Amino acid sequence: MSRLREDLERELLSNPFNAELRTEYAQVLLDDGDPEAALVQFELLNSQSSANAAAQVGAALALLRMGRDSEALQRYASARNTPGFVSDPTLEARLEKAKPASPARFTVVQGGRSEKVVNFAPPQGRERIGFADIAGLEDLKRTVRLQIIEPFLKPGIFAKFKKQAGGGVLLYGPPGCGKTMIARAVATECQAEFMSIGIADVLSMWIGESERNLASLFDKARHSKPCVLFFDEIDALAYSRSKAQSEHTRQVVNEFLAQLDGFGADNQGVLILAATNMPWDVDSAMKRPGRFSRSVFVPPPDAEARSRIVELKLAGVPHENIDSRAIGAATAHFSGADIEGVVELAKDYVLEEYVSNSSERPIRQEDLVRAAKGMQPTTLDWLRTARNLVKYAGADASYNDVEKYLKTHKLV
Amino acid sequence: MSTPDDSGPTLGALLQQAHALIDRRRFPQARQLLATAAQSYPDNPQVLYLAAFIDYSEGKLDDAEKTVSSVLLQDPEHYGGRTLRAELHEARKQFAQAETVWIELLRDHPEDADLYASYGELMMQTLHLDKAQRLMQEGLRLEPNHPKCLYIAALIHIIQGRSSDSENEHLQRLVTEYPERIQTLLTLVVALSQRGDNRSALRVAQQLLAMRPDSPHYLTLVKELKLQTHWSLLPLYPMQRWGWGGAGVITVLGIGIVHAARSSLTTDLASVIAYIWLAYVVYSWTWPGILRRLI
Repeated sequence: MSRLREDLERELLSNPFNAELRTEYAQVLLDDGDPEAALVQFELLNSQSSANAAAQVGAALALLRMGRDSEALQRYASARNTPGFVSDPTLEARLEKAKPASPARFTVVQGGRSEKVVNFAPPQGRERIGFADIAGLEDLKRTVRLQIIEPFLKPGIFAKFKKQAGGGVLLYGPPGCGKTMIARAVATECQAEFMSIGIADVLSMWIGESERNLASLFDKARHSKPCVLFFDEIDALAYSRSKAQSEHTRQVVNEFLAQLDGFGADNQGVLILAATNMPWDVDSAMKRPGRFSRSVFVPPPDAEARSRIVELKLAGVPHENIDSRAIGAATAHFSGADIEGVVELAKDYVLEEYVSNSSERPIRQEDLVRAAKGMQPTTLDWLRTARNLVKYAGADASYNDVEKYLKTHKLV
Repeated sequence: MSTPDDSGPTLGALLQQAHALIDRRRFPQARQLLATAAQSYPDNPQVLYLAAFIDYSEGKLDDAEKTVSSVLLQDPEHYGGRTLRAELHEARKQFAQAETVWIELLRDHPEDADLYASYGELMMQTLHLDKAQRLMQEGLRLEPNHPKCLYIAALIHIIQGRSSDSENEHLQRLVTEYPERIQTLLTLVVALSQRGDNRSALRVAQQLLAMRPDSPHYLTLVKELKLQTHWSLLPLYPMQRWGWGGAGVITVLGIGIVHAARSSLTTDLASVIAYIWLAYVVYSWTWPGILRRLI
């Protein structure tokens, strides 16, 4: 016999982390004809554990009772990828009815790409960046190749080994460390078109037309296969609903989730990437299977990458006897943008001297060393915040790479 | 809405975007957008108000105060400007001035539950709990599920130490209606700590820190609760649970045991007990401080 709603509320108050109890409570709410309240509870369960199939099906049922049929079906479809999934006859029947009569317009065959099927249009007027253009970060490149590029290029082999390859990938890490560059390089390596949606595009979505804008964006990506759809600063678009004060922010996230789920059914040939400096601000529902279930940490550049950045920034600028390796070693935790700042500061020293003495000279090692000593890496703030998360907040497995980085560099 | 330059976005659009950025705590970008808006609409009170709000959120109270004065100069009845002025007074601990502003606002907007919540929060901070409670009753009469009113009401209930938290109806409603809100989690931490369930309080506080890992306040909260739940502090449980009362009982009990040992046991055994007692006293004074630094 099911318990009374009030009893369950009281018990939940004493034990707010009991998932079984909360599931029972959500079910009681659903049976009592209060699907809105039930949905809140199911969403909470989903945020506590991303692999809770029962909660996802429950949320789908609640959405169905609220008359939000398409969202319910999208949610149910994504629940099917979750371990422990048990089908619901009502939703199954609805899903069956909702299947399109004709197959998808574009198909990418498993195990490779048919150039005849896919209309590939390389982007015009923009320099393409590949992995060869990114110095250092070999571990990251290997991870990106294994987790993003190969599953996209060869979905067949991953399917054979029953390795999950679908869904988007979230790149996260300190600012100025090349997340956008990595995304651009992924597009090149995948021989795909690169569609980047930045904060400015997101801003325009907030002016009352977000639903239509988002839908047309995904539509455009579908028609540009193979394509990498990249959301820069995803936290602006998918800001955590529990932190948002305004209803409008929550609505935008709901719409984005609905688009992602709808897209999940027909995403062959489109890779969705997102980047953020603040992964903790991204709504937890984004990290569920079928959405951005895989996360890749983009750390500050390593010593080799830093010395290469120094060389690049000094190209075409008068300099002599520069030991870029030494500068790379002296700029631990500096981001690419920070190293650019170091070089700019060194230029200032030389120009300052020229203005006061009228003696022209090239940039020397000591200018760079002095500039590096005078600057603090901007990544430290981010790394400190990440340390709070890893060391004190009991962060989930998606932060394992950050933890490893912090431990390697003795920051935790 | 009229626009001086038809080619750019309208003022409404700019304000909407600025609001959205502020909601996402992207203050530098919001400030940039408002600077653009201010070029075309330099005296618009809403533009000025949002700029002041950003200053206030970033702790720049003097700048916020100056801009709020400009807002109220343009539009003395500006709702946001007036509420921000009250909040600025509160931030500077000018509670009497803040109260005056809240009362004036309530006179003009007697049906606004937000104002009852804000005024009630001030009353709670200044420990006028009965008044705060009455304000919350009124706020909740107007909006039965108003989150801030529920939050303040639940906290008042806890501060007053009335009955168990299972009877804290407001906390129950907060947990049911807004389970993931920061205010709900904060109230839960307070309620669980007060009940002595520091382990559960720690888990909720960790959730809070995971939501805002850059918050020094939540970090301190988690560290403090980690300290309270550390196994090496188990012998200090009575002091942690009952505070000075517990410490008093332990002291009297310890001295009593040492005295009893001296009169009834051999000198050697009594000395051992006295040393154990001394070690316990030293440990209780020094170890929590050392552990705090280690955590």
